Amino acid sequence: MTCRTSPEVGGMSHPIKRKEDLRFIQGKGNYVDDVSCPICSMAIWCGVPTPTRAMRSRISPAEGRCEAVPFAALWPTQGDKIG
Amino acid sequence: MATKQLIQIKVNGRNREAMVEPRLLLVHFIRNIPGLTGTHVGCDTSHCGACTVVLDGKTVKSCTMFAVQADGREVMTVEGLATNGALHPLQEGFRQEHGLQCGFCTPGMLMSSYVLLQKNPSPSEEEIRWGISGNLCRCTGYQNIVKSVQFAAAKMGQGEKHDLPDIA
Repeated sequence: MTCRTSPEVGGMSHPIKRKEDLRFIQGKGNYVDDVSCPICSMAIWCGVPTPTRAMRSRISPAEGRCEAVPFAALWPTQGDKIG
Repeated sequence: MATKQLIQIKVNGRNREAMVEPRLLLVHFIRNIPGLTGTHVGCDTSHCGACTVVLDGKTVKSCTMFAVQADGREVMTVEGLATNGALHPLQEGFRQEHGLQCGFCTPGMLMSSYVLLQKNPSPSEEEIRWGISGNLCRCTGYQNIVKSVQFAAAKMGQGEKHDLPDIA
């Protein structure tokens, strides 16, 4: 396919350099094994459609339905620093 | 339960003291006492190298070493590579040459490469491959990792970057 746009403009057929997640090369990646929550007795994993999401509210036992202290995590990541 | 004993390990330049059981593995000391979770537990059998750290200038697989064996010694982990917020040339190399994908093996790769470049500032491609042969990567196919180490060697002014074919 012939490129119809300049490299500055980008677009179809122009290669894009992959952006690496800086956390992974600094030991700051947050894998499942890295989760530490000693008082937690259960975990809730929430799938999200985009890589950057933040929790706006927490589930607390006081709000009912759950006697255990839950740990909630967003997946894939929250607050990524890709660059 | 075995009697705990007091040990002191210097991790990334900072002394860390703890009462530990003799059976505690070094990797668990690193991850749990200072909370440096960049060192990963991959296979627990010394095969994968994800737990590689530098102990007194030599690479060790911290999942097969007891913390008490490191008492009074100095450990460097991936968190100790960057200085004052500036990435180490190896980290820069992994970033520029895409030497990682999932990132799980990356800390171990970085530490093995770090010692490799300390010993051999200008390694050939074959020497790099031997140098990281104790570290397994299931994503990259190693090609870009080798290029990353070459990038670092060149940037550190200690070697030349060799052209390897690009891979998709």
